[in-house]
Amino acid sequence: MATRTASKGTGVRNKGSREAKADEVVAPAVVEAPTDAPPGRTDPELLIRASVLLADAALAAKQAGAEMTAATFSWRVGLNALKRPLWAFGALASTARALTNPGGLGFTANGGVLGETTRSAAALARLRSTPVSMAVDAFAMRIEAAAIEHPNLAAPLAKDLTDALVAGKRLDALRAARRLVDLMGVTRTLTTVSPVLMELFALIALLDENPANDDFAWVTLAGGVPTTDPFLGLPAGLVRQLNPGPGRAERADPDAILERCLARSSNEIVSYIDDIAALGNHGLALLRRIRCTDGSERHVLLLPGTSFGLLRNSTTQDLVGAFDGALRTDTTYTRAVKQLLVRSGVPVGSDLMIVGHSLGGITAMNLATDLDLVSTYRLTHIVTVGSPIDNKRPADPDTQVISLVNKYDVIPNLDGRGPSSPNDIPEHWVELAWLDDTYDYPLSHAPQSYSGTLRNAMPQHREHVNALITAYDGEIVGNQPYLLLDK
Amino acid sequence: MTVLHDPTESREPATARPLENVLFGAALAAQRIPWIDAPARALGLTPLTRESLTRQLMSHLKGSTSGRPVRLHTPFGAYLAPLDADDAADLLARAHDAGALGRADHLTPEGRRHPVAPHAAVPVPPAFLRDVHALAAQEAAHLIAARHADATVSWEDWCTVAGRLARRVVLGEAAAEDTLLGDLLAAAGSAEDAHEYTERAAALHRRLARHLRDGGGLVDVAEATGEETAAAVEHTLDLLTQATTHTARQALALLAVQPALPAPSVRERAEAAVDEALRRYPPRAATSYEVLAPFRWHDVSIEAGTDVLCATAWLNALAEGPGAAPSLCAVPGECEAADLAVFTARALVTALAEAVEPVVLAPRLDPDDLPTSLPPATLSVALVAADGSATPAPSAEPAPAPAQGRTPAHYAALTRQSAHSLEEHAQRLAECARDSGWNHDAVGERSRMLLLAHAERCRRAAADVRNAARWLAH
Repeated sequence: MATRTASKGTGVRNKGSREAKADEVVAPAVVEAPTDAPPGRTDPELLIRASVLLADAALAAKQAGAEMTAATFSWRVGLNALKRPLWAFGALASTARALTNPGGLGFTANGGVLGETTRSAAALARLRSTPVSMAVDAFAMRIEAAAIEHPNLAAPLAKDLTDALVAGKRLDALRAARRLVDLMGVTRTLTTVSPVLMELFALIALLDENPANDDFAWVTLAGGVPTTDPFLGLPAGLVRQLNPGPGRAERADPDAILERCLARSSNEIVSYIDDIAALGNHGLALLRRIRCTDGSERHVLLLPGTSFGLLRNSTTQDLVGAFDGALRTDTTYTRAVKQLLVRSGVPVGSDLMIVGHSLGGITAMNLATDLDLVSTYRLTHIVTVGSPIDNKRPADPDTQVISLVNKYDVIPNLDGRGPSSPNDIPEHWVELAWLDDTYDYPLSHAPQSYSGTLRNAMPQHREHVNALITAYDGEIVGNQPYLLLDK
Repeated sequence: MTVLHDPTESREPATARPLENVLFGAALAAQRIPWIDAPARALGLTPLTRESLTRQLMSHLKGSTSGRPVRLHTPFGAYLAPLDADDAADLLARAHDAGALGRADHLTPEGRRHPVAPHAAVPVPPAFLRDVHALAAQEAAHLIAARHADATVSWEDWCTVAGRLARRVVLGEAAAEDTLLGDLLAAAGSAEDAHEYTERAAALHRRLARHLRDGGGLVDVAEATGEETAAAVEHTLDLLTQATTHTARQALALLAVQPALPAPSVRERAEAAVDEALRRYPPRAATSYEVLAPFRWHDVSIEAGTDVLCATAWLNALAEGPGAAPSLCAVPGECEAADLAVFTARALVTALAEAVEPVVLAPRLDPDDLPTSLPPATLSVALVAADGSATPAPSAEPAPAPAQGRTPAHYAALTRQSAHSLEEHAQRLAECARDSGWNHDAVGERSRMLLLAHAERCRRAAADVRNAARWLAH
């Protein structure tokens, strides 16, 4: 069941979020998102609530269809039918009517081999069942709600695009996208639609003739990690075949720029993000040893994000690795990091904090789900910067998750939890979000953009994070880069 | 006791003949292929099922060796197998007293060996047991609240609640939501070898250390008596988790299919069901024990290095009459941790039986011919309210996919619930459409009309599905 628990529009999402809002500092280009609809407009909260009800109804209708499909094709029911043909006629007629009544469930056969074959045939024939109609309308309401918070989405050309996708008119959608790109350029177009990107992908998956990708839409509706891609419906397991390798970590020497940056490091979130930026995206990660003020030795891992040069390279920080990390939890990046920890001799039972940007944040969360890792080390904090992590949960309920999100950035929304998604994060997570439209994507996603915002426009968020990681205050006694490779 | 006693002369254990070795190896192999006797079951040829053939083999071995333990050589290892439950308990007790009993390994039907946590129990005062009933009642309420539309509780939800009950009893409220503790315990229990077990156990001890410092639950009692150790807490937590996750669920199924158990009150029926579940389906169906030093049991000399195989489930099936339920603890003798585990399982089953009526949906159980294994993960037990209705509170988790190949009555129950659910959704959509918040603009009015249209479709769908349910129920 889809749920909605957190309030929209606050910069800080956790218990006691009201205090943070009271002493915000707002710079001209960076604002907290508006909380109320303009007068004379439908309240976005009402739209979200309605979308949740529609989503629940869609899932219930789909479940009813699955149950009756199972009844229709059950061999035991067939055996009964042979013994009692009159009953069989009545039962079959009633289930067939229930499964096909256009005023009721529509064509809703699904589940089991025969059910899925029937559903696939219906998808090819573009027969829209009631659950699908409800799901489409639920997504449409989410898009309407997002358009209130992001006025660019309500602009005519963007509206043409979203309306065409809601109607299932792909050619019209392509034309609208083309017009948008002609007017705004690719990066501004991406930034414009990014708040509802997952909803648009889900609509494409649901309304095309390919039945294999429908699961993507249902997972986006209900919340969770997709098991297929939204276009071809390729299973997540296939991505693993494209990203093979046991993962390996090799000690590396820092170059002069990195060395200068590391010399200025401190236990401070802006410093960590600057260090990640200095590491670059060519496979490096950093292990820092800190002799803390309480006498303990603790460790911090810094994990950078994806290199966009090639689809695949020899390091763990490539595009294929990013897809792998989004869909699964055991990847070459996580395996290489685990090898790094063993290789570097981090003692068993040590306190560990992981700070990751983009794919690095996804990997941090994937590591947090790994029972082997959390049973070997005590993962106290995960700090993610611009990472889509909201659909995964750490194995240790005591791990403090801190998520830094620029709502103008495309990437954090790719976990299906956009501004109008009803699915929320656990109460004890800390999500610090703001709207910085200084740069379009991809600059809005760069770690330098995040560190700049925290340094200048959002010092309260900087202080908030620093207050949560004081256990790692102390003297840095080791900064060691490692090169992480797939094989 | 069937073994003759000669105080003057010791002898080697009897050795099975080659054909007996082959048959025993085949019986072990058949455990790994659950479907191997599916044709015999489908045709009703009970004497040709795995259980019957194994029972016949064990009877033969018992008869040919006069009931003495027999040495068996199989492709899966060489074992000394007692052929009587009492002999097995007595032999292990003798080995334990002689200091010859080494590591115990749990042997799964799939052929895997998992080291068993060593015995180390904490005395439990009677006053502590009152709290167990209260905790069990609270967790039973959570189980009832977690039911799906067909009134069943998924295996995952059951394990979550049962694990939490075990943690609350042993470690107190602070550990209730520490799911990592449960994961580490499960990982230790499924370790492939001693090395992995040692690492997993060490991780578990590190995690337990904080709870031991903070106190709560049994830890406070242990401190009061001065006998607190991490090993004792781990052992107790392990046994309680097994009893609440596995045995309690199986007991519910037995309670459902054996209403004629000779016990008048709900509590007595529940307790009898738990004992029956332990006797028929011990959590460790087979355990092997390493003998570290030679010892003598009656007139039989057991050498060091021998692997003693206690096929508890097979021995129980062979026994004439019900017999005593085996202990949850792998080590023979009194174990207060095992007693507390059984007590907690009984409390949980009692609390559930007092609130709801269990109904077994799958597999089909014949009270006169119960299966020799009943994996709790595959059990589907509905918890139906006393008035026969099965309307649960809405669950936050998506309903599981309906099982294939069931009877019309099963689907009738499911679809009846779905019709009810669709009616509720129709009402909620219509109620949302009545909200005055839609009055402000065209988007709002369009949304209202969409909600009303979908409410109407849900209503019609509910009527169609209810009609189909009626036909299926005929």
